[in-house]
Amino acid sequence: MKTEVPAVEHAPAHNGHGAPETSFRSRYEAALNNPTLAGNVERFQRNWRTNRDRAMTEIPFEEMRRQFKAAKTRVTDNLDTYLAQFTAMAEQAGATVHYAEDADAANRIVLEICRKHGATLIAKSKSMVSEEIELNHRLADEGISVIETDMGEWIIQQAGQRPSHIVGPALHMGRKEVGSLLNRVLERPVSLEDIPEQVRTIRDEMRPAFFNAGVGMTGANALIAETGTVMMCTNEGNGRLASSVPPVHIVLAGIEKLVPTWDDAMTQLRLLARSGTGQRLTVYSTFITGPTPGHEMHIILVDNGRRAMHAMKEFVEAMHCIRCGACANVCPPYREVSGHVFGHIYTGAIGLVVTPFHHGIDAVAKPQSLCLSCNACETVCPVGIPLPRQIIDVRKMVVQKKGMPTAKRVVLDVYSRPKLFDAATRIGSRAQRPLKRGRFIRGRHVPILKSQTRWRSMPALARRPLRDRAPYGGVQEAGPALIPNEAAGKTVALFPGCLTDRLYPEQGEAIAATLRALGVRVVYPPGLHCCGLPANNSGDDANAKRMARHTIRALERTLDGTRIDAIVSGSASCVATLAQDYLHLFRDDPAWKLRAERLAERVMDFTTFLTKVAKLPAGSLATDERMVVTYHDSCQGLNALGLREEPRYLLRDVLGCEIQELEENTLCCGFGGSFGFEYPEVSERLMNRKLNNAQATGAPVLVTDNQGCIMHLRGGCDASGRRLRIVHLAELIAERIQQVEAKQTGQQTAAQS
Amino acid sequence: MTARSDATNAAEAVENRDRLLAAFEERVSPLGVRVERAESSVEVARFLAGLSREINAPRVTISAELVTNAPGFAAALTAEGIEWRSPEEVSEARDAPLGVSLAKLAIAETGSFLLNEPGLLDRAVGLMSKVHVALVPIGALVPSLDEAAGVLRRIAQRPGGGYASLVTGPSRTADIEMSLTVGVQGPEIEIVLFVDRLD
Repeated sequence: MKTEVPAVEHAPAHNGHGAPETSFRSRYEAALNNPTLAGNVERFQRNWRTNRDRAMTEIPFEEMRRQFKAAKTRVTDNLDTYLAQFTAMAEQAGATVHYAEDADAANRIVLEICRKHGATLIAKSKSMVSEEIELNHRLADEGISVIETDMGEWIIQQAGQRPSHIVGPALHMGRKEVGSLLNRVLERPVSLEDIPEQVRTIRDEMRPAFFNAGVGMTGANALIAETGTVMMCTNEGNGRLASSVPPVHIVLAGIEKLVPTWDDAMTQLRLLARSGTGQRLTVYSTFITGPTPGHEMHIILVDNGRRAMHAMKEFVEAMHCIRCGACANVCPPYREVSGHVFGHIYTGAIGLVVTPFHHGIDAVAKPQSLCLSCNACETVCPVGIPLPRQIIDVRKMVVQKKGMPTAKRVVLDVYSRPKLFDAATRIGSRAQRPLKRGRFIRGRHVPILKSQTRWRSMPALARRPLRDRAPYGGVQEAGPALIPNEAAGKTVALFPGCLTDRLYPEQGEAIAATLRALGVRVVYPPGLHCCGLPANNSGDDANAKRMARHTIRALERTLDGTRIDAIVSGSASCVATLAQDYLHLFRDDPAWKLRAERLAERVMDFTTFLTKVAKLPAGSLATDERMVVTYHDSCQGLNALGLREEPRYLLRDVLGCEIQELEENTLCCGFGGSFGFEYPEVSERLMNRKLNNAQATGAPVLVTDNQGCIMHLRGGCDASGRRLRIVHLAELIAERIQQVEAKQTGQQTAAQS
Repeated sequence: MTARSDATNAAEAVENRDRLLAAFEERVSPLGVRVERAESSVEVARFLAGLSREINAPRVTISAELVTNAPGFAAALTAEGIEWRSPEEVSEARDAPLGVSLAKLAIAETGSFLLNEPGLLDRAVGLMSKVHVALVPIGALVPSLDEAAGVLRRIAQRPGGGYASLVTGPSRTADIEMSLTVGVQGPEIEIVLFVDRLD
């Protein structure tokens, strides 16, 4: 990859209070062993989701985020113009505008302002930029105290911690922890249970700061270029006090906070609070243009790596972030470990993306590996930042700089070579025999497999892969269309994906059988191997490209020889890779990009083919028996391909099943490819949550559209003895087609006799 | 003919206003905001007299701007026997039991009212009172943030700029366990009082 991390000198890491950084591994383990942490974060995430979704029903989210993204794109396309406009307008209104190239410069400017006014106390409203530049710590070294006046920020300041979340800094703590912290730092009894009492106590404790401080400091939620106005959204009222009462007001703001006009600011308001806290608006949306009469106002515009971010096309969209924190609120691993592990100073998905620019690549090397590429973050981002893809690009920078663990390296290298991989799996298929029990490997007594198989049985390789069972390189002619549909007469190339090929060939056969029963010719492109998803998601750019090229060539050979209407896969993950990731992979390679684009036009997942191309009519595969099922949305299906109603239409309307919805059905099952091997504890928790929710539906069958989820969830059921049938949608449909076929044959026989 | 269409227009205006008021109320009542109506300064004064008794407020703090803009209002307060004053120091507004200020706009879409006081002493009333009453001329109730954008832009374009806040409910926090606690650094109780004529 050509991308390079800007060379920014960084001071040794602090936790903001002078203590050295603890290692990632110890923070990870501490988080897992903390008895209340995951529960606190879960409560937050679940409440947020309900409130946010309700608030979003009032606005056209997709349209509005497109509109706002366009406004933010105008800023990133014309950054210097808007910076100049904002600066000129703010100065015309009487503010002094400073520009800080890095953290040191920003801290120095604050220090100089304090010195000039003889201020030794700053009352500070919430500002993530102040966290980014570790202001409190730096000013303390110079004899200036900073008091955090946001409730959550005050709590973590007293606890000597960093915010664990961009919006809710202390959401990882519960009332008991807050209460005992108050007892300790205030040296007087405060309730461990009564939250209003805790709030009152903290409020009274910090209140004098507004009146005694020489300087009030705030952040900014937007900088409105049109008039030089600072927009600030708060709930507690501390921001208004900090920006009004002390004689000097300092605003710390990243240069990405610019919006062109007031209309854009209103669009941001409509999106921000809904995304941040599920409110329509925060209690106070404040607009400050110039100083209060008799006071001074300083606006410090901070670069600190933003220009470098802006200069890279892979990352420029991260400059559109409005710091709502939504990406963290839907993140499954975040729920288990909190932002103190999932991120650096900026946490959540956006934290993984911006940290290299503000705090160097080392700061994010470990945390970024906690992203399991479920893509949930992108679906709720109010500016549509392609966070999952950007995290992969960060991962590639990490791999480029620091390499990869040897075992992973070897696996990916083998995986990337079709012949070697084929040989290895064929040997594996024989070698596994002593450990094979049914369709699983029972390796609980094999030490190397113990941490993996205790909670999740490994699948056995199929005795014969699909490539040995189907006419690869050949064609299966269509049967007569069993039910009326619009795909009859079409030709489809089947892209099975490697898990189907090697583990679940019967699912590939089910897809082919379904297609043929709809009157579709099925072509088996020869020479297919893996699409490259494991390499790409592991940050192995070279192997990802090699495998992508191999796949494109193989499919092109088939496309050139035959008229192919669609390339269909039963794996939502493979489809997302072929149709989306390839385009980004070859962004700097026009010839291959063009080939990838031509391919992407034809690639389609099985569910989409049945609903959009074949347009299966409702009731066409229903039987008298009303089967009860639950549907598990795979992350790639739901979040990358946007399939929500489609699989439900097939199950409910076409097959006539009763769907019992899963609690939290937008949440990942915890598979994430190599994630389960690297973070088995988190993967297991997410899996158990999904399986418990599935069992709670009472449905005996769980249907999904992704082999990764199937492998993971079946393994979990086997290891825990849960009784749940987990099937691919195609298997259910193929079964039903057989029944309908048998019935029709029966009727014909009856008619003939 | 003309008279009739005037009457029709007036009726439509009232209907429209009532619809906006209903929308405003629907937005703010879940936030615990009281919405009141008054026809005149005298009615406002009576309401404040009752409220003072209700919350045991010995006096009412009123922004000087309100006194200047609506001298009749100050007279009405005095006539009701209400002790009132405008702060001359910020400390006088700090944690005042009952403060009244003039809102420049109310927005039905969001249930917000707009405070815009350039001077700190006027601003302090809405910032620091325990119970805050925002007087909103009924004509200043607009449908959406789009109308507010125009007003806010004009405020920002004034010489010397400006300080404006859209206030949506009493100050609150949910930083501990997402448990909502009302009344932090801003007012604990917000009352929006729409008034037909403020003289």
